[in-house]
Amino acid sequence: MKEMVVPNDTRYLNDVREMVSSVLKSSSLEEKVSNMIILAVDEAIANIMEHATANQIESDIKIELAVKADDEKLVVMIRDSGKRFDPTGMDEVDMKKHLQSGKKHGLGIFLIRQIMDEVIYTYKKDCTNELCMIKYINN
Amino acid sequence: MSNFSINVQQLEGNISKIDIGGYLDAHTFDEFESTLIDLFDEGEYKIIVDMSEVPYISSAGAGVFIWAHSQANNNDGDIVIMKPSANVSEVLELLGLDQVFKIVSNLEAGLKTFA
Repeated sequence: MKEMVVPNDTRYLNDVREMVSSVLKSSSLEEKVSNMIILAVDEAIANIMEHATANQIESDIKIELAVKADDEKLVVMIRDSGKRFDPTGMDEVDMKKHLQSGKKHGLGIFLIRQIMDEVIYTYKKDCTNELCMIKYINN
Repeated sequence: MSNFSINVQQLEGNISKIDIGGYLDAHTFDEFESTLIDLFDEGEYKIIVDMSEVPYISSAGAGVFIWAHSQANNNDGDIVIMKPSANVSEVLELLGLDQVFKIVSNLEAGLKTFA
């Protein structure tokens, strides 16, 4: 398992991708699938950076990322101390309508749902958002 | 830290070519968006985006393409994607954008889409 604390700044998304990539290199997932998982984690962390800061000083937000892979599955756990935000509670994206409207935002969770097999959100009593994303390796 | 670059070239026929280099993600998308806003403000809506040096795109970057496509189409223009990498093509397909955008393999083909 690898863990890192991600500063609440989009410039660190590159470090996030590199960390996930290093874990995936030791898994049996094909490169194409690995690239999509890296994207899903990037999207989840970027979502937190976009949504977590209301009424809080940006630097106070703590984002923790843990990635673990075994023969059966890859588990990504993301915890943050930002504003309560459940990405899994967002409506399904109607891509046709989205394209027609020319909207710039809102596709991150669409991609996460497309890529990962399970996406579970939990809000902890200590004011922590917890997002668990699982990809089954033989799926 | 990866570098990100954007260059704009004016071609004949009121066509602009944007060359992007680097990762197009939640950190860099606004630079791409600003470039497009500047072109739109100048009435330039026929745009070819060379993606050959972009190894990665996230939804933030794709969102700018969706917005720009809508803006360009409303002004008799278009956004053409040129030479996307395999990884970028995968993301475009996942979002269904390969069915929406004209995707070309070279500049000549890009120019022909505006002929």
